[in-house]
Amino acid sequence: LRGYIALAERSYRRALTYPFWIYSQLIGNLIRLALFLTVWSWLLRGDQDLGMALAYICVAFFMEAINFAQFPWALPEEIRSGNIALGLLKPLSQPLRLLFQQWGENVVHLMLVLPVYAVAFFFLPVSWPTPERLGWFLLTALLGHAVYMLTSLAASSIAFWTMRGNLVNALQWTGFSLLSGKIVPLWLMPDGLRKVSELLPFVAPFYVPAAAFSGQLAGTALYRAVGLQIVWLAVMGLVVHLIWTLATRKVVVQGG
Amino acid sequence: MAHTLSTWWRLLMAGIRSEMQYKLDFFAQVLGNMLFYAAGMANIAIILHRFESIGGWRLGELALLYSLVFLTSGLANFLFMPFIDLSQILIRGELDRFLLRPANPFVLYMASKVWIFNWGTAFLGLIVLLWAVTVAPIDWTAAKLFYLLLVVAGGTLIQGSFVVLVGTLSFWFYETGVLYYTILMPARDLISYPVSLFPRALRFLLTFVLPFAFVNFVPAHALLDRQSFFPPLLAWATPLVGLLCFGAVYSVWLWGLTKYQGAGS
Repeated sequence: LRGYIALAERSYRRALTYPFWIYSQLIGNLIRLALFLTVWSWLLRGDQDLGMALAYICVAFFMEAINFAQFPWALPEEIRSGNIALGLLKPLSQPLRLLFQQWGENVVHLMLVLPVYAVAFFFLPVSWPTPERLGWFLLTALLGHAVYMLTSLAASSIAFWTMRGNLVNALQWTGFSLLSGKIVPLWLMPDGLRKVSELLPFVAPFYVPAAAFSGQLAGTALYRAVGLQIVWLAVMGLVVHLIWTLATRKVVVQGG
Repeated sequence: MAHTLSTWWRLLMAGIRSEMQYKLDFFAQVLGNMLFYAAGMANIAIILHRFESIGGWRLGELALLYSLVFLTSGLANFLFMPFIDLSQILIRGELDRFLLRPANPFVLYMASKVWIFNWGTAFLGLIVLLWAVTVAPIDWTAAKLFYLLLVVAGGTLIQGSFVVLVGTLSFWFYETGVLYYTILMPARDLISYPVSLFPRALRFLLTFVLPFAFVNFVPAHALLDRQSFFPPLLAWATPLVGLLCFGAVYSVWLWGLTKYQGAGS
């Protein structure tokens, strides 16, 4: 495990070496959160659940910062250039290497959203969670994050066969954009769409933790959502395992 | 000028031909990019399923705003995207190649790589725009129809100017291309919603300092016969603002070139 942590630390340091990226990312985060909060404050003006909805928006946005993966760009490039072979020669699991490298970078993403939240939670009527809800949030955020990373890795790993970023990636991205509740909260969706979304893996990293935090999800509905998160985690873990077992058997590197 | 344009055109066509060699890849990229923006439009439609309007703008009007953003984003990226990678080119000293050839280096560089997936963005933008202008309450006149074409051209120039600018800054700073992802994309998200919703300082910034609002929000007032926080005549100024932005950024590029020293040896 020490090897993986060293990899994570290296990508953490690499992410910190670009001052332009750091400051502009901070400003960009501020812009986007301000946009979401402005639009939803306007839409829900006068609504008594405004504080709850704003808490939801903030947490969903927070989840977007930690649920971030370069796999769709980085992995096809490694496969196409043949660099993946160097990785496969080493005594490390390649999916795990990719995950740890991404986590190193995501720690920086996390550092860059936290100050933005400090502003939102202090200046806006955002409602705070009870300790119990906070606990559920931490659990569901962790599970949801795992589902996100594995889904993204699975979709990107199709590149072993296509050599490029692919439509599965695009579909996955679309699912996370439309059906995850990160832009439109699930309870504001048309009924049919909401019912379908609840069953799909896309809500696991966004809607579930955000709604557990703000209190829209509680009781049996919450237990059911956590159960589904675990099911999707198992499914995606299996898919990633299968793809990489098949792929490493077929990988052909040009030359030498 | 004619020579420059014909050089640009031939380089562009060569770039397109080389990208089209991988047919399946081409369709996957274009389709994938269309999905990206289609999802954005669908999200707006889902919000409007529940609420009557966003900031007093209804579905047709919001579709007009949104489609102008991604039509001009697609066109501007298609034309100017190589500039995002300019810092890499400068570090490796590869700009020499473009300076030594007998044509305008700006044009040579902008046509050096074609990012074909932007066609998906532009194509979808065009379709949504054509739908939006039939749904939105517009009293059509010949002048407005002609102006809409100028708005697309001017908006492309405004967006393109910012793409060129983030790259050109790397004559002075390190790795400025990331500003495309960290600032430009969030700015495009901002103008996908009515600018009038935002706090006064931000409205001012987007209209008079970094004139993103001239891509869609401001000229939409001319088409829709609306009035807002700016003088009504400004609603017709998008082509002019586009030319001004591009002129300014081109001067920055020329200034940057005087700073270029190559990579040594």
